[in-house]
Amino acid sequence: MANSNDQLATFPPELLIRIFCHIDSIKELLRVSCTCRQWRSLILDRWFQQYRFREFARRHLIGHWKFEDTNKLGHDSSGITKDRYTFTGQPRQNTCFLGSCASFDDRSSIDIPVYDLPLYQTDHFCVAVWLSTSRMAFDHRTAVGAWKPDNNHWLHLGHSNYFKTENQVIISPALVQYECAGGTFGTNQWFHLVVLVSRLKQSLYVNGKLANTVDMSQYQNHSTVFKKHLITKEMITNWKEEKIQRPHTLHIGAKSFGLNFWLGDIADLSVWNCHLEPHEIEAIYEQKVTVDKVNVSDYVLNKMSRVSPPTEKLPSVN
Amino acid sequence: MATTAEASNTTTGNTETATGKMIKIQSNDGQIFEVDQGVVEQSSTIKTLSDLMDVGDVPIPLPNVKASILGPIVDFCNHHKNDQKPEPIDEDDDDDPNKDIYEPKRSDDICEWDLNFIKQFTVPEGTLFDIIMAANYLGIKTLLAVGCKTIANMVRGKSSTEVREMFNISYDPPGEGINAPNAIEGQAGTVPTTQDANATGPSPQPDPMNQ
Repeated sequence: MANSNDQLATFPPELLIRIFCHIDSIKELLRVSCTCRQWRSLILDRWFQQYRFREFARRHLIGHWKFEDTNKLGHDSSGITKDRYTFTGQPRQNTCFLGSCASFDDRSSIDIPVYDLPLYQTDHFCVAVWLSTSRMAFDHRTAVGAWKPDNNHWLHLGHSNYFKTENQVIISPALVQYECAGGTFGTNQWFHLVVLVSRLKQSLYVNGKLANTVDMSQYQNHSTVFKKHLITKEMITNWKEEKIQRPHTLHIGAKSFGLNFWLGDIADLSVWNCHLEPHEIEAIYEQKVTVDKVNVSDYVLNKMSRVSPPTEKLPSVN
Repeated sequence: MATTAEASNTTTGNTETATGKMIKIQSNDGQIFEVDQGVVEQSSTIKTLSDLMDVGDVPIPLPNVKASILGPIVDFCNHHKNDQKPEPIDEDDDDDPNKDIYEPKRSDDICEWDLNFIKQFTVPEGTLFDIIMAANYLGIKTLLAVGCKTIANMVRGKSSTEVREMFNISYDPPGEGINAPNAIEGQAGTVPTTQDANATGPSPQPDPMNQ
């Protein structure tokens, strides 16, 4: 009889690939690859790994700015924000190692409303961007921000007044801020920053490497509290119940309308509603191409070749 | 003998109703279903066949789908026929390196109705695989995605041993490796610790990305 539970073993490869593409975590996928020789050969395949990343991007890339069109500098290649952007000042197109970038003159930004986009109303996201600045001042400068008082502080990625790469997150109406700072930012060189934010943790990658992780599950790990009068003992006890604020407007080149302008260039900004994995971040940095062109397969397969064989026992089947 | 599972108001020809032309489709065990254009539009296979063949009252044969699977598929398509239509995805271009990756976003979530729908199909009975195979054959992308996500969700968080047990999969294909007739006694049941020259990839690894 055809109806039995062993049909998956004889599934056509194209269907198995579709199934595997719905497993977002590479770690999980590699564990699944241990199931049998056929699955292993499908998963540990250069073409599949590249296909999988493209499918991953199709599902989770919710904003991508490559600044390729002079006449539509705020064009979002993902289509999610529907190009409803406006400009503050006059951001310009410039050239860089990736091809194109946007240049900001300390009084310009690209402003994109996202308050009505459900994909952006999340506390689990990732932002990757290339940044360069020609001059640093002793204050915060925000390359990509969504920081609208009082209840729409979501992203604040740039450098701090100590010239450190940094992102900030605010949790709760009491405005409890968590800062995640990485290495020192320098002038006239490109840095690749990736921030991974979830309710309990934010991590900052600088130039492909993990620079810092901040545990936001504990109230006492905060940097600043802006409305201390709203803090209660019960709130601290149940701190994990407090929510990360959601974005109103995404600003490229500023933290909010008219505040903390960026001075320098910004390239290949991507916003994801899922976290990139360390090897993907490393691949994007090492290959120095836009995220839609990155080849992650070599990173996955090389990593696989460096680890020891398994000791797992197989069940006696068949 | 063919039986009509879902009768329309008229009895002859591919009928016209308030919702448009009705099409008859026939499962491989002879059962006939009458579906409207909203259902046809969701299946690239049925749509292509109905566009190509103006066969009047003759039902379109679907030799790869049995009635017990085709019936629920018709229900699924009827439920979804008023959904907002996504922008077309040309999946034939999947391996085209020049293709723009920016295609319509697909939700990773399975909606509640679909979750309840897919629950009627199981692994032990093989019907979960049947519905996926049928969705693939009929070119119903939304149903195919629901089925594939369901399997992916079942696999997620399981060890490879648990996955093998759940789906009754052997590590090696029949007749090969540990299933080979001349397999050394005592070796069967253990993952090889050196790479098999015939294997198409490196040996399987535990949690390799975290090492």
